[in-house]
Amino acid sequence: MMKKLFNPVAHFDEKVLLGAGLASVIIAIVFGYLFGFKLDALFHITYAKKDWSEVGITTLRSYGVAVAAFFLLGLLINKRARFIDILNTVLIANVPLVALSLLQKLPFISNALDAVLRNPKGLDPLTISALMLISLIVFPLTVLCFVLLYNGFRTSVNMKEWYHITFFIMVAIFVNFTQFI
Amino acid sequence: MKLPIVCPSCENILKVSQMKCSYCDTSISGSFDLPVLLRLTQEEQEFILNFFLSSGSIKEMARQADISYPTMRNKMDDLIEKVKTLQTV
Repeated sequence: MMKKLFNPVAHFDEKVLLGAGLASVIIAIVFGYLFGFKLDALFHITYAKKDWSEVGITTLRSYGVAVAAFFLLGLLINKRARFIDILNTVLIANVPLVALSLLQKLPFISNALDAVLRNPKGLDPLTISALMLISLIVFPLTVLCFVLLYNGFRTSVNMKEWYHITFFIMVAIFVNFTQFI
Repeated sequence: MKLPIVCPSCENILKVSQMKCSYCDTSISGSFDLPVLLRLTQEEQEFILNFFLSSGSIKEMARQADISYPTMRNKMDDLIEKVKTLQTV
């Protein structure tokens, strides 16, 4: 069960993963529009205006850049790397981030974050408890994003050599900075 | 009975030194190399047999083993590399 959770690309059918991944993209765009956030790079969320084109295009562009970059690297490592496996890897790796962005909109968490912005020095115990809960959720989910990306890519291209892993890390860093492009 | 392919003492590949006709008891002695496929592990031999029985479909094998296509293809690629190495030895 844990193996399936940490590396779904190795265990689930590509159509199932594609369905789940595309659903997460639609959720990210729809809820991004409703709650005012966008995915502007791989594993990066930022506030956005309530504008379909801004949320939609930025989110799709961040997915597109990540898929293109990892697919090119995948082809360099293994000529038989398939586009759908890389696409699924990127889509599934972002699912925890989408979940995280929705969790931040839960009323008590959202109120706690607002309280920090309003008055960072005078926080009440309830706000501090909510912030601790956020940090307890954010850290494992962020780690899960990277684990899903690494395991998915490793399975997709049969990555084994240390220099492949180095290139993978370099591309992962590159696609995390695409919000500046 | 499982055919031993590795020396239990030094772990080198074993050779065939004798073959015998079970009908007329004729024995042939010599030093024969094991064919490449017999130098693979039992599990790897079964993998190749399954590949043959599923008409060479990695997708079908993945479905039967309840794993994804890339995982099964990676197993196949690793096995191809091993067979290539054995062929050159």
